[in-house]
Amino acid sequence: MKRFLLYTMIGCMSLASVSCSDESLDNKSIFDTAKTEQNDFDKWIRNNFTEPYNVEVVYKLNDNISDYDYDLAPAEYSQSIELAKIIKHVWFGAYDEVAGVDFTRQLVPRTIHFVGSPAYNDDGTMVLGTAEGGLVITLYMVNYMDYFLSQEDYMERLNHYYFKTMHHEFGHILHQKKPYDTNFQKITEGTYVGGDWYQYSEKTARQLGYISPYSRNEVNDDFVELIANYVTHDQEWWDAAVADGNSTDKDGTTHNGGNLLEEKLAIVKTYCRNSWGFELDELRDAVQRRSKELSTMDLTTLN
Amino acid sequence: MVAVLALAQTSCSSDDRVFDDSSANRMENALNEYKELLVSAENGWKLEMYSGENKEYGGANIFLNFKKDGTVSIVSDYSTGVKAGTTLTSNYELLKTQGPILSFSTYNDILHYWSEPSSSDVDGLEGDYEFIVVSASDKEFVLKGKKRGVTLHMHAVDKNYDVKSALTKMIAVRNSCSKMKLFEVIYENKTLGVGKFSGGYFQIDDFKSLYFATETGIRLANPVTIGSAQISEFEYDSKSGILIAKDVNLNIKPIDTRVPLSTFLNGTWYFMFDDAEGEEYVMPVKFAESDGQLYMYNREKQFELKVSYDASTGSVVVQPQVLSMDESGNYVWMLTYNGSSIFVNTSYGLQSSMVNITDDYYIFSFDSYGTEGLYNTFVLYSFKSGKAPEVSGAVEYKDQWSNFALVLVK
Repeated sequence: MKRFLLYTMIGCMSLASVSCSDESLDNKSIFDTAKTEQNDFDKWIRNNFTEPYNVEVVYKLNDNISDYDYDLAPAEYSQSIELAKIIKHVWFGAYDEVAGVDFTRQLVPRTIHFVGSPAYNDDGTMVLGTAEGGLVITLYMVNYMDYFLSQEDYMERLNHYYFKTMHHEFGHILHQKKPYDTNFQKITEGTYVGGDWYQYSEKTARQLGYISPYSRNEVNDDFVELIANYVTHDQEWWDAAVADGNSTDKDGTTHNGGNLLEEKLAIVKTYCRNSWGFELDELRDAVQRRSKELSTMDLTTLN
Repeated sequence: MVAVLALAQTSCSSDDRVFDDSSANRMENALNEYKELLVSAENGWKLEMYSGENKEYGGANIFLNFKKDGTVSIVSDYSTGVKAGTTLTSNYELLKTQGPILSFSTYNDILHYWSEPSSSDVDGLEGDYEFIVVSASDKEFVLKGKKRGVTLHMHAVDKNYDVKSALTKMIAVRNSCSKMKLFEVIYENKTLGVGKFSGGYFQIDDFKSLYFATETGIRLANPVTIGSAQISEFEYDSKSGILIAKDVNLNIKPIDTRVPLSTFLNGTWYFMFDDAEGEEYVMPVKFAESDGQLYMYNREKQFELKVSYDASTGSVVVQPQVLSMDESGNYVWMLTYNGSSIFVNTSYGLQSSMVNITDDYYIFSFDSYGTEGLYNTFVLYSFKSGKAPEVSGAVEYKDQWSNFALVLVK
C-alpha cells in the first residue's frame, strides 16, 4: 500500500511539474547567499584567504558549524584579526615557502572557524581544537590572544592552543590523500591504547617511542603528532625528547623509545620528500623563523 | 489519487497562492526589513536581559544601537567584565537559519557575559546570543533564544529619552541595592520581617525575584505578594535609602549590618565550617586582641585564626595564614580559592557579612575580600616555607574548609 502511494505521488509530481513548466525557477537560493555589508576585516579575509587559498575564515560565531553541545562565546573582532594574521604568516606562509602556494591551497581545510571561549567539557577540561574530515577546523580561546601575546613564552602557548592543532589536522589531510609507508605502524605495534591514551604520561609515551600521550590513540594520530610536534619545536627540543625516550628508570629499567622515535621520524621525512616534495626540516625552520618574527610584526593593522 | 491530482493542479494556478512570493524571497525581505527597523530607531533599543532556561539569571537593562555597517554599540547598567555604563562595540548579523535569526556574532563583554563559560561553570549563565525574531515592529522586537528558548523583549527607545542620564540613575539604584545587604520589610508601619539583595536577587523568606533598575527605583521581575497586595514597583529615596512600594504602604528599609569591634570582643559567638569530607564543625569562639593582632579561637584554643577588624564595613576579615606544622615539618597554609584557582596572595581573603537576623541570632556568612569571585572556601596546602608562599613550593594538599559562618547571640 505504501509503495502504491509512493508511485501515485511520483505520478502526480511529474504531472505537476509538466503542467507548471511555463513558470521559470526562482533565482533566489534558499541557502544563505545574502551578502551582508563587508567590513575591513571581511575584505582582508577575502584578499588574504578566500582568493589566494579558497579558504573561508569564519570569525563570527556560527552555531551551525560549532558544536552545539558546548556553551561558547564568540571571538572578539580585534583578537580575531590577530589570530588571522598569525595563521597567514606562520601556518599558510610556511607551507607556501617550502612547497608553494598550490600545495597549501590543496591541503588546508576549507573553513577555519574562530570561537572566543574555550570549549569546556562537563568536567571542566577543555577541547583545544576540532576538525571535521579536514574540511572545517575550529580554533577556540581566540579571546585569550592578547593575553597569550603579552606573555614571554607566547610561542609555546600559541603552539599549544593553536598551531599543534593546525599542523595535526594538516598531517591528517596529507595521509588521507597519499598513504605512508606501512612499516611505520610496525615500529610500536602493540602499544597503541586507543581512548585510554590520556591515562598515560608524556614520559611513558616517549619511553615507548611516542612523541606525545595522544600519539598512542592510533597509528594515524601517531603519524600526525610527529609532524605537528616536530615543526612547532626546535632541534634542541627534539633531542631532549629522544633522550627522554632512551632514559633509564630509577630501578635500572632501560628504554629505547628515543631510537623508535628516530625510526618513525625517518619515515615521516621520507614520506614528505617522496610523496609531497618538501623537506620536513625546511618546514620546521620556516615555522620556527616565522614564529619568532611574530614578536616584531604588526598584528592589528589590516594591510 | 484524485484529490492529489486536484492539489497538483491548483498549485499551478498562480492566482490562488497563499503567499505571493517564494519562501526564500520572503525570508530575504523579512531580514532586510528587520535590519531596516533595527538601524532606523534613532535612539536605539532597550533589551531586558534574562538568561537560563527558566530565566534564573538576568536583571540587566541593555541599550543597543545598531548601525548599518553591521556593528552594534552596547551599554548596560549591570557590571560585567566591564564597569556598568561602559559602551562596547561588536558585530551583529541577520541570518536565515531556523527562521530569521538576529545573531550577536562577535564578542561583546556586556552581552556575552551572559553566555561566557568557565572551567568551574561550563554552562556559564546560560544566556543566548542568537535569537529567532518572533515578531518585529518599529516599537518592539520579540526575540526567542535559539539555544535556551527564553523569550526576550527589546523596545525602541523614545527619541526624546536621555539614555545617558537614565543609565546614570539606574546604575546608582542598582549599586545602592547591591550594597543593601539586609533590609526590614515594613508593612503598614509594622515590621514584617527581614529580606536581602543577594546575587542579583530580591529575597524575602522563600520569595526570590530578579530585579531591574528603573530611573526612579526598581521593578521586580515577578511581583511579591504581601497581605492582599501584589507589589513589583518600588521608588528609591536616595536620602533615606528606603525603597517605597508603589500604591501600597510598604517600605524596604536597609539595616545597618556593621558590627562594632566591642561586640566582636564581648559578644557570644559561634563559628562554623565544613571540611572536605563534608563534616560540619560548630564551636563557641571568642575574639581577643593581643599585640595589636585580633584572634578568633575556641575554648580549648586548639583552633585559632588570625583575623582583622574592618571598621568601614564593621566586619572581620580572614586572610591566608599558617595554621600549624604538619608531621613532616612543613607549614600548613590556608589559601583562598575561586572555583578554579588557588591563590597564595596574602592580600586576598574572606570577609564576614550579615546575611540574616532571626529572633535569637545574627547570622554571618563570608564574602570575597581584596578581589572578586573568591568562594567561601579555604584550601589547605602544606609548604616548605612559613613566609608568604610561592605556588611552586606547595608540598601536599591537606584539606578544604568551606562555608565559613559566624553566629552572634542576641
